[in-house]
Amino acid sequence: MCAPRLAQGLPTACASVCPTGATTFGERDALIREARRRIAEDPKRYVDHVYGLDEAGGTSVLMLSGVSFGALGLRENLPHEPLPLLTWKALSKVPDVLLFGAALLYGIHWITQRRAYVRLIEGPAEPEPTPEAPESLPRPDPDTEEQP
Amino acid sequence: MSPETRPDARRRFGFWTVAFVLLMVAFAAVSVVRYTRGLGATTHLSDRFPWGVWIGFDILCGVGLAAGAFTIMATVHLFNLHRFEPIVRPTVLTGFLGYVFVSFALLYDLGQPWRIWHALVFWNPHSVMFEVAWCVMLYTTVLGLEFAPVVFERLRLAWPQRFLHAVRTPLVIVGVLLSTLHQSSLGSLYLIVPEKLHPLWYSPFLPVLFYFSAIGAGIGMVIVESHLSSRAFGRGLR
Repeated sequence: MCAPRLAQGLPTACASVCPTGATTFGERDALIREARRRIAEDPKRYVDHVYGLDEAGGTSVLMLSGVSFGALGLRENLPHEPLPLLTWKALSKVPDVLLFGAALLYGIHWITQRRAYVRLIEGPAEPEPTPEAPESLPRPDPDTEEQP
Repeated sequence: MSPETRPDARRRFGFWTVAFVLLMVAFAAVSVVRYTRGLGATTHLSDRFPWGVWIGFDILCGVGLAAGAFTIMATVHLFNLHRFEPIVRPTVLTGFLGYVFVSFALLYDLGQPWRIWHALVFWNPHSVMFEVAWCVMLYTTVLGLEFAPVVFERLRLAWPQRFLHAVRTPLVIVGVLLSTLHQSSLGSLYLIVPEKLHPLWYSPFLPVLFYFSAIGAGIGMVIVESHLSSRAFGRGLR
């Protein structure tokens, strides 16, 4: 909103030229107090709700209205927590998925290879397993024999 | 029955040829309009409706159907179930083509396709789109490398084959992880719009649901594709 003006400490252009004070500018806390004061002073005129106070975790623009906010085209079903938190809950797990996923998958691979290796050495029909498996024996390579 | 003996192999301008030519002409015409007049002129998208319904089909379903590649790769190379070895190559090719098509479709879907490289340089780890972009790029590369041995076999180049064989296990693991992240992040995309989704659809577990449904859909696609290719090439189901 009016970044060049805000950089100089000036209010936004729309707020600075508004003659009736319908659009004002200031610190958020002060604006919330002002909004509550206006509602309290004239409860018949306003819907008893400051739009933007909690919507989507609280917005930078606050609004008062005499008719329901839905009639103004504003969404009334926004959650009251900041929206980026919703995706961050999933995104923050990405490093865990990578680390534990890699460890798990490599573990599975190691186990299945090991089983194939042991089966190759001991042989399925041999009743007595040979405990001293020579270390230099090549690992089973499934690709060389399974090509159609 | 080999392709040469098929009676309709000589029929040059069959129904499907005409249909595909018409589609290609329409595609070319729409492409010209899309790149000269923009997405608004071709799709009626606006700032209020930034995503078209087709994204659900071409990206979300398309990527889901390519999930067979990582499922079968994991089945054969990590779980060592070599019964499924014969379908590895067609499945990986399906996955690779699927991802290439998705990337190609993105050039049409993105409002400013010439900025497609931005995710490489401008990092935003809080954005789901950032995760999606990286997964698409990396996993397309992995799928290309997983399919590359077929190409090198045909070219009779030994050393790339040896290299790819040596790095196959890490490649498969990376592929499975990237797929896991990619399939689930497509669900995460919708986490941020709880007010736009029907309450029946919305759930914090959307990423998990997307992931598991992709595995099912991917395997289903492998079955359909094996069936079609066995009919087209007369090789019999394997």
